[in-house]
Amino acid sequence: MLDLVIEASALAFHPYVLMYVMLGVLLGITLGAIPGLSGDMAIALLLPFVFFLEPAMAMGLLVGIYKGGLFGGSIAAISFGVPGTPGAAATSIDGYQAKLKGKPSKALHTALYSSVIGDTTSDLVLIFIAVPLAAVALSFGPIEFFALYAFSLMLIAALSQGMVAKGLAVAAIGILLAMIGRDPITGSARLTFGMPGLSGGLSLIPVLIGIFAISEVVVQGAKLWRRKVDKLMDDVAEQASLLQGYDIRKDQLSWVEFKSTLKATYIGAAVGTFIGALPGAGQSLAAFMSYGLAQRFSRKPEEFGKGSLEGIASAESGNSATAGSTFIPLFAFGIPGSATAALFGAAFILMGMTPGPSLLNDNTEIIYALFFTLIFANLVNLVLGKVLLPYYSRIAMIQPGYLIPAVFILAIVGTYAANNSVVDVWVLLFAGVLGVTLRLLKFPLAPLVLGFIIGPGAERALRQSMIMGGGDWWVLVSSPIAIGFYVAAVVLILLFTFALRAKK
Amino acid sequence: MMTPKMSKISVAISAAMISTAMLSTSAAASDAESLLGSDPIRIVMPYGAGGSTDITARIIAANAAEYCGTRIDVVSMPGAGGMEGLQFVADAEPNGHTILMADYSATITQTLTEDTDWEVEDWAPIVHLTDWKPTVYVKADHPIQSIEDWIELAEAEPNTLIFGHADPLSLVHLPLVLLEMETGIQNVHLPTTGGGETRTMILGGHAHLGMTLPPSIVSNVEEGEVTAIGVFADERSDVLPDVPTFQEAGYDVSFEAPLLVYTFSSVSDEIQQALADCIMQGLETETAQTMSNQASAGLNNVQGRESAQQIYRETTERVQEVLAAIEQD
Repeated sequence: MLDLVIEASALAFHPYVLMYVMLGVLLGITLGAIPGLSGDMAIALLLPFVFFLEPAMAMGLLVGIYKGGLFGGSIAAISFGVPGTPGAAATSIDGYQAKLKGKPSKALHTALYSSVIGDTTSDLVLIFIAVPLAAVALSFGPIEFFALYAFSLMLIAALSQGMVAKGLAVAAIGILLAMIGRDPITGSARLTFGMPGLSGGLSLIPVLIGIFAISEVVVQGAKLWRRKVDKLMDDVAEQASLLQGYDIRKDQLSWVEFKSTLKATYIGAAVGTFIGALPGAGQSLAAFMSYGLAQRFSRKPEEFGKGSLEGIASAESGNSATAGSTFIPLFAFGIPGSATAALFGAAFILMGMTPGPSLLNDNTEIIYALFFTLIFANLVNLVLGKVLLPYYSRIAMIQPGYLIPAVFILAIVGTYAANNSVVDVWVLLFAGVLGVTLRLLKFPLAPLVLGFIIGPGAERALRQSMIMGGGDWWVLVSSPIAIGFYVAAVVLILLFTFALRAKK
Repeated sequence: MMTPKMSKISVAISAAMISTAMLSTSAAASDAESLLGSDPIRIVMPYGAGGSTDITARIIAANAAEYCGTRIDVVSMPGAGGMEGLQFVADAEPNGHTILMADYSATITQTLTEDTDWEVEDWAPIVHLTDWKPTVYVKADHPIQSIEDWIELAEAEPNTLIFGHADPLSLVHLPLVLLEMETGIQNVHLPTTGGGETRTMILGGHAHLGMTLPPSIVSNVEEGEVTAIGVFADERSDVLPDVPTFQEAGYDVSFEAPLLVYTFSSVSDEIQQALADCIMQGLETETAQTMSNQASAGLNNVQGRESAQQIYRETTERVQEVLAAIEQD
């Protein structure tokens, strides 16, 4: 065993490997920060070249890109309200509010620390308890998945306090939008109004960026315009805004503030690790679930949605904590649980290693080296992030006159680049219009996105369950795991209701 | 040699890697080079990145560029169930720089069942890369362990066995439909998101049987987690040599799925030929063959236009027959 550790660390800590990890993290953070571009995209492009690299170097590069990308997504989410990656959607809720209050540096540092803590937790779980967790993950069939989705929808729909009805209503709109496209069971097109471009459904990225970013750009643009008009009419001097007086020295994350976010970070780490191990559940769900649970257990739930550092920490830690555990089904059974895991699976294959139960036995050294690399990449992420964040904080505070067109262009180019699709750009613009409308009517936006994210999975799981049960609804409570989720949902809602009453 | 015309931002990212790692467009001046010019060639793949088709496309991109005289980019366009990728190739200038790589689900089945701007004949297959052999498998401790067990149990208790497969009418579903017509058995058809979810369902005991392509379950078969019970092909699969075909078991059902490279039919005959030649040359190299072996991509018997056109015609007829039969039901 000791020999193995020594050999594997010799592989993993070879200077070239370390260089590739650093290159990867830098590339990942940069790509993740640009909306629409993602670490996955770079990994896909680099796939053929892993064949020509030493496995340890190739792994270092890909792992670096992946981890950097997971954190990078939060940079645009906090700075511009544009989630750089789907996983950062939940981060943008509180992150962008914190920035608007002139605290981009605090927000970005919270995101960095919680991201690294969540990720490291998940890696340790992968290294030490992959096998038992994989067995639990397998017991999640359609019936259990539907219960999980129902649980998270319950948890999130009531996110916005005092607006439970509105929250549920927009969640329903999200589910409706997700139903456009192909029926998951019969394959026929529905709700497309005869437009072939819609037959594949709306993609996540344009909906996400449209709802959050385009609507924000329009609102900000309108504000700017009105201020100009006001100035013209009254010739009143513009008030010195937060932006002009931004001083990064007053915007440092203190130790006390950091400690106050730790509970949320741990909740995110646990939820993210578990959700990451379930094939097909995804980063966005992990982030939103962590966010919802952290709010429930927070001492200051009323600050969520208004720039709460706990909100940022839970979302970002939940998102990043999927990083290690998403490999669990891949290593244990050869099942890629996410798009990223599929790409890593392809990379393993090209390096002559077959993902699956024999992976570890046949390639013990290199897999142990990969474990070291996973942990090391987190350190690189932490250091690089720490170095870069002051610059990113300043970028976040650029004057809106320059920022608004830049975000608009980024959103359109990024959306197109993600799927090479013009239809997606139209979807982006329509989602933007919808976002503005909902903002004007004072609807919360987060439940809509969650509804959109879990809609397809929930519908598929429900209908698969019904097929398996021959049309009998009782099939939904035929599994102990499913019953557990339903009970937990009811208990949480009751607890929360009583807690609210007690406060009054 | 890097052309300055980077079509996508993301390409630029890999530029540095490409130039250091490989792609020294050598003096292998060929017909392809003079006919095709120096603009990059795009292989459009109507699926997500990371799957079997993606790996194969990237093996082509890495090896054929030298012979085609220009860079080759792989573009993944899974939008609109793959239809957006096909539309993109159909709308592109017919100069051979935008080509398609797909199995028959996209070009034949969907074209026949949906309202598209093109007909099946509008796709000109130029390279026949490999044939995929749909394979039925079960969990290793399931009572069904052979084709005979399955048919027997399904006849005794119709509509109780749950069969997981990817999209309806896809290449891992049509063979099941054919077998049910041939034998009269009935199973509960459970559509999944793809091979990964099907495998979760089988391993977790949520579905009884599943269909997939051999390379994706080799490891699980070797570890004794699942048993592959039968292959819908004329001959056994190279990677699962112990698994019988359905024909061997006495059921005349075989439905291999050819993986083809296409141009749109408006591309000139000369360019089609030049593309076919340079892709095949690239895939014959030692590097390409090693990559293919490691990935179980099956690129050891790549065929040119004649074979590609013939298999495309035959597959079209098969699909038409099955669809007509389903319609009658």
